[in-house]
Amino acid sequence: MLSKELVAASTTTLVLSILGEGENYGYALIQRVNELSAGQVHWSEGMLYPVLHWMEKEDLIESEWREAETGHRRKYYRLRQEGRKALHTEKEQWMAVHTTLTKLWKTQPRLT
Amino acid sequence: MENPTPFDLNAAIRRWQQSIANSPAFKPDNLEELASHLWASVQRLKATGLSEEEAFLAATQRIGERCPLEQEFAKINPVVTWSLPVVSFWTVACIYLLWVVWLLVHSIGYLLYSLERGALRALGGVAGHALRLLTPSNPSFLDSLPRYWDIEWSVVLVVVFILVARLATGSWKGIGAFIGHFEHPIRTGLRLVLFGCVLPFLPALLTGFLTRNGLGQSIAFGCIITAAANFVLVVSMVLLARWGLRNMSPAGGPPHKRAMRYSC
Repeated sequence: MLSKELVAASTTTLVLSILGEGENYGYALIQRVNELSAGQVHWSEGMLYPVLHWMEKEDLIESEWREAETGHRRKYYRLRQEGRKALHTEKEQWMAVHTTLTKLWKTQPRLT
Repeated sequence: MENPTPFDLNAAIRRWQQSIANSPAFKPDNLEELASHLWASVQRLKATGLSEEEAFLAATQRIGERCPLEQEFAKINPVVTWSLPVVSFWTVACIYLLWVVWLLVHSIGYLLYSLERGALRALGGVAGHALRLLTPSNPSFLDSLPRYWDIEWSVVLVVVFILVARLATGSWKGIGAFIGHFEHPIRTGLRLVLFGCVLPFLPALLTGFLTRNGLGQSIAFGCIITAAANFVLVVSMVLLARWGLRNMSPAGGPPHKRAMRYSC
């Protein structure tokens, strides 16, 4: 399981990235992140929905209530222009961390 | 043995919704979204072989206790309690607004007073009469200064201000979000000084140019006194805003990185 701090640091990036695949609703976002991380990243409902509403207020995403194929109403979220820009920046930053760590962890054994 | 009353999922979800609906931390939209979430969660759990009732119980357990949920939502829907600091803040804010409105009325009154003497008399006509009902007959800022503090005006403005906030935000709870705009007291204070010291005096300064007597001089003196008093008012408002709203306005940054402030 990821530490609380790392979950907090990665939540908006993960939401932006999942919505980058296409529009989605709250429950499915939790399922998707759970599935992709093989249960390592767990989001609680109490954490996710306030984050989504905050991101909406920040114009990163927008939402729409629609009837799902099951006949029930769902609130779908999708990326806005600002969100796409933010995702691009986040990607660069996370890739920088990823590349640095990969290099470190890959080269270390060779030094010994 | 068969259960005599079959489990009604929609009714159960509604009951669950009602059990948390009385909290100011949830807006109707949040409740609807949580209900929709619960419904999706029940469908998924049913697919694993649970009965509808078991799935519902498991789904509500996953969402968790009311209190932590409330605390998380309170970060985006700030909950306002009418404590002494908040009431003091709004009172000072209202007195300030009263001040601005009153000065603007005076200022326009002076403009029309001077226009009535000149070629533009017609323009001053009807509006001038209406405004002069509100302005003192003696065109001096200093003479009418005590009138700015009329208590009945303050009361009227407090009520109007709260009603406007209610209309603007759509709910009593929403006033909390409205107060949230005062998150940066210094910036708000500076804006209010500009609003209170520049805007109301534009017509009066124009009067100074239009009149050829000592009126312009008296107005200029009045402006200085008013600006100084404005400054005192704004500073007290800023201090109150900092003191009173520190614990209830939404802090900056994403909610999941903010500290819990709401206790239930």
